[in-house]
Amino acid sequence: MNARRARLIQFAPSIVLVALLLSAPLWADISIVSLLTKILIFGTLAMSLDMVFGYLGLWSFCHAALFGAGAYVDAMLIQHFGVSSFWAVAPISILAAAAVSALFAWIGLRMSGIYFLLITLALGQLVFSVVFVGKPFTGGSQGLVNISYPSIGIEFSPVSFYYFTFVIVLVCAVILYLLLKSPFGYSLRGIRENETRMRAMGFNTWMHKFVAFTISGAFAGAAGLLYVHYNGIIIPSTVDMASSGLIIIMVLIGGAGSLWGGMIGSAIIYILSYFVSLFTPERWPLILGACFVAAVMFSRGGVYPQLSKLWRQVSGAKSDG
Amino acid sequence: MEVMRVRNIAKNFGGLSVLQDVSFDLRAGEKAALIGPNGAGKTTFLNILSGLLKATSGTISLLGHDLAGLTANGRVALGLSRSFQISSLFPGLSVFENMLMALFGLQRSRYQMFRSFTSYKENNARAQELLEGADLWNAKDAPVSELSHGEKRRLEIALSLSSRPKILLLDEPNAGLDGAETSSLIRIIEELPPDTTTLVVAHDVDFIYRLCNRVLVLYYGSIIADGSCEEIQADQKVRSIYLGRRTERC
Repeated sequence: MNARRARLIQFAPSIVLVALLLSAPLWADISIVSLLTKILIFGTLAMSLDMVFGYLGLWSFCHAALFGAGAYVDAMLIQHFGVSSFWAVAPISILAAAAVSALFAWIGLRMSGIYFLLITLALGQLVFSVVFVGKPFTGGSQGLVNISYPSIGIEFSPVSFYYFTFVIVLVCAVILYLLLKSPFGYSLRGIRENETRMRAMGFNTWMHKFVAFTISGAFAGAAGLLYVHYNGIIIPSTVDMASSGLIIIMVLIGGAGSLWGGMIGSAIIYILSYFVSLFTPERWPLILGACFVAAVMFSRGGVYPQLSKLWRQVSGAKSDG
Repeated sequence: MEVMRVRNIAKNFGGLSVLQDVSFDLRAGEKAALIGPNGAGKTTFLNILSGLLKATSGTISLLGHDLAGLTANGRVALGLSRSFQISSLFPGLSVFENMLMALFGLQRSRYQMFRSFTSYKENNARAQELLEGADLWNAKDAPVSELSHGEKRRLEIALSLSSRPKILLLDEPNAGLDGAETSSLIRIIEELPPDTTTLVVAHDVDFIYRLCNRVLVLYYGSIIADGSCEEIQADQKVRSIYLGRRTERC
C-alpha cells in the first residue's frame, strides 16, 4: 500500500463525514439542518474546552461563561450600540471572550487540580450573576432577544446560515488542529503529563497554561457569537454551571484529548436529545445521565478514540492523531 | 573557575529541619558526588538547587548570578539541568517526541503555534545525536511506557543533556541498573564536555568512586565531610555512619 493510498484510507471517514455535512440540506429537512448547526456550534465549544481539559489537564468549569461572554458582547453591540456588521462585532466579541478568559486564567492558575476547578466554577457563576444584575445591558432574566442572522451583505436562510457556520467551524477546527500539532500544542501535553519535568527543561509552564486558556476562551467566544445568531436569543441559563457541566460531559463522552472527540460528543448529546425529546422530553436528564454512565463504563477514553481504533483495525490505517 | 556557590542553605518543613547550614563551591568541570543515608536531605537539596523548592534561608549563585527568586525554568536558561530519582518522562509520547520536547525547552519556538512539532530539522538532528549517544535511536518510535528501566534512565539523562548544561544535577542516576547499564551510564557522563560540572546524588559508593573526583557527605541535613574519594574513605566519622568498612577501590 503506498503512502498516498494509506493516507486516503486514514482520512476516509473524515472525508465521508464532511461530504455528508455539506450535502445535509439536500437529504435532510430543515429541523435536521438546524440540529446540525447546533451540533457544529457546541462542538466548537467542546473542542475549545478539550484544548485545556483534554490536552492541558485543566478542569475548567467556566467555559459556558466564556461562550456567554462572546454571545452577550455580540448581542449587546448589535442591540445597544447599533453595530450591525458581523465583521465588526465578531472580532470584538472574540477578543472580549479572550479577555475574560485571560482574567479567569490569571486568577485561577494560582491554584491547580480540584481548586482550579472550584475557582473556575465560582468565576463562571460570577458571570452568571453579572448577566442577571446587568439588566440594562444584558436584559437580566429575559436575556437579549431578536438577534437576527449575521449581517455580512447577504440575506441568510437557515440553510445558508448552516453553511456559514460550517465554514467558520471548519476554520476554527483547522486552527485548533494545527495548534495542537505545533511545539506549543505538544508543550500542553507535556504539562499535562509531567509539569515538574517541563519546568526542569526550561518551560515557563504558567505562561503556557495562561496562553492556552486565553486561546481556548477565544474559541469558546467564537462559538458563542455563532450561537446567538443561530438562536436569536441569549438568556442567563446559557452561561450557568449546568451548561458548563454539559460541555464537560460532551468532551468526556466524545473523548478528552482527541480534539474531534468534542464534536462527536456534541453530536451524540444533541442527536439523542432531539430524538428523546420527540417521545419523552421530561426524561431527557435521566437518559443523559445513563449515557454518561454507559460512556464511562464501556468506552473509557471516549467514543472517538474507540471509533478511531476500530477504523484502524478494519482498514489497517495508521493513527490520525 | 567557580561555577556554583552555595552558602548556608537551610530548609524547614514546618517544625522539621531538613537542611542546615549547607555550604560548598563547585568548580568548572568538577564531578562531585553528594552521598548520605536515606532521609539525609539529598533530593530536597537538589530540588532547592533546581528551583523546585525554595530554601528557608541561604544563598546560591550560579556563574555569578544569584538564584534567589529565579524560577526553575530561569535556572535552566542559566545553564543548570537535572535528572530525577524516579524517571520523569512523558509516557504518552514516543522516545523521539520526549527528546524533541526537551530540545524546545529553551527555544523561542516553544511558543510556535502553526508549525509542526517534528518539522524542525536542527532539533531532529540534535535529537538523533542525543538518542544515539544514549543508545536509544533504535527505540525512537517506541512509546516511553514500553521502555525497560535501564532505557528510561538513559533517556532521563539524555533529556537533561538537551540544554547543553554547564552544571548537571543527577539524582540517583543508576538506581535499579545492573552492572552493564551502569557502565553505559558512566560512559555517557564521562563523554560530557570537559567544562560541564556534574553533581551526582547516589547511594552506590562504587559508582561514585568510578565517576567522581570529589565527595560531599550529607548527614541529617548537614555536610559532615567534603574531600577526595581517599579522604572520605579515611574519614572515621563517615565510615562509622555511612561506609561501614574500608574498600580497596578508589
